[in-house]
Amino acid sequence: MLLRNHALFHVISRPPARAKTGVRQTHRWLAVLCAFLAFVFVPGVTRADEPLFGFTYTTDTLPKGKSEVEQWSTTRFTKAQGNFWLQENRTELSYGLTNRFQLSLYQDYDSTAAYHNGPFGATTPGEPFSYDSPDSNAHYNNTAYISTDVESIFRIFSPYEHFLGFGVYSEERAGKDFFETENRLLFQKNFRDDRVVLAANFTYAPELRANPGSLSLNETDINQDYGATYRFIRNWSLGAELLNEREFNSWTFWKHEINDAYFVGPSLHYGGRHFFATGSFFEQMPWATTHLATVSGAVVDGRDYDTEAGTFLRQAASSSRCPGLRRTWQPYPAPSSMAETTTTILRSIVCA
Amino acid sequence: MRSKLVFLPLAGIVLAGGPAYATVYLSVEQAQAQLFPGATFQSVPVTLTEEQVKAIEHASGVHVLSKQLKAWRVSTGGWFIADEVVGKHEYIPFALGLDAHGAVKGIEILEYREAYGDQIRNPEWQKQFLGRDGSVKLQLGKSIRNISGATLSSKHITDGVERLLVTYELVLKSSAH
Repeated sequence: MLLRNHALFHVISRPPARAKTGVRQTHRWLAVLCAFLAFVFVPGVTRADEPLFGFTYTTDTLPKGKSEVEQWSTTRFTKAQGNFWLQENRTELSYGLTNRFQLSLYQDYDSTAAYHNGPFGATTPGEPFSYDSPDSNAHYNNTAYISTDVESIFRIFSPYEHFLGFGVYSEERAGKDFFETENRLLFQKNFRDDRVVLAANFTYAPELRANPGSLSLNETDINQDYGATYRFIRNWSLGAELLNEREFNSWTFWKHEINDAYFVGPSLHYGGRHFFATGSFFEQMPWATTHLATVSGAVVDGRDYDTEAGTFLRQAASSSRCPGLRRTWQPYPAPSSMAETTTTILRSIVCA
Repeated sequence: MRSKLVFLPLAGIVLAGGPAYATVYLSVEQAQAQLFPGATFQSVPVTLTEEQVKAIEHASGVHVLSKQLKAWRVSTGGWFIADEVVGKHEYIPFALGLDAHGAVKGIEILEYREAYGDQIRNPEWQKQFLGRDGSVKLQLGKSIRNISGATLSSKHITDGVERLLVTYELVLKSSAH
């Protein structure tokens, strides 16, 4: 999972990036649009399993032969100083190969704006754009296709049949000058007729980047995600999550730690027969500590601003069997403004 | 910029206003006629006491969703109960027919509102419940086989039938005559 921002290293080591041309941007958006349309018009899509949380996975998978399309949006903002905004978009197609094995294909396409937001006031793009090295005083804006991802989830024990649900997750991401493999252990425990769900994920995710040259280890992410949710009325669940994200300068998770960050926030989920939506909000807690490999100036008031934002929102939605919706659904655009994004989202959900 | 972002959660909430559909298979009257052809039914509404709820939950190991029990005495002997269990997103209304000895005569799923899992209507799967009288605890994966791909629904229907069998033993049986 791309949660980090390595741009500071590039500010130091790379020359300023050349300006993007309009032609290049147009080609990128055509590619993104084609990929999205291919997903949207996949026949026979049905809504099935859904995320109860913004980040924490449960062990639920799609039944055999069922598929769904999900649209994810993550907006990160707030740094210790300056202006920063990163909009991460993901279009996902999932398919149940068996009743316990689910395969997914993603496309990630992001937008960002940054100005004087990094340590010592240097303009530092969000991590997906870390291949760019703008001038430290530049007003940086960019929109690009980021990566193509393959995800698989295999449930070993079902929480509905066993004392504890348990599954394994693996996601491979390949993009411009980087490759990441994210591997999770998934745990789930249900209570009160399965209306109360506790979930925990433990993640090991080494990331390789061309820095520059051939791919080599850039960092290893070690994350712990915890979530608790309660379906308080029909269709609606309210919950909370705690995320602990740590980065290491090695393949291991016990030496050369770069930084750590903690996020806490609520999640709200609606699930119905043909539609679901999940919204979550996270605030970074002032619990970050400085390590030997921590970049100077990255931790401010107990918060890690080198690799993380102070706050972010994450949403997911999926719908099917609604022809009007299928026709009008649009990808989250690279917005010229958030107002435009909101308008597009609202327009796209109208089910004729 | 930050102020504009507050609209994103709003979009999520609006997204949730999507269409909802349900598949209604049978009304209560249709289920009664299917489980007990030719019989007449006398409504015997029951409000469970706090003690009865605790006793049912203790004996069945299943949470009682409502103290209001919708039960009918059948003219040909036995009981008809309309109840519901928790589904993935909504409740699953179902009906249980018990013969004069309190054994399962049949199950009918009245309505199904979930995305998947409606295999619980499969007569072959429901056949496992026939003749069960509460002497052996009903448990998914043990006395009742699971439906892969519909695990949550089959688990909750199994639990619901177990709870109603216990309810019959503790509450309805004594009022049978």
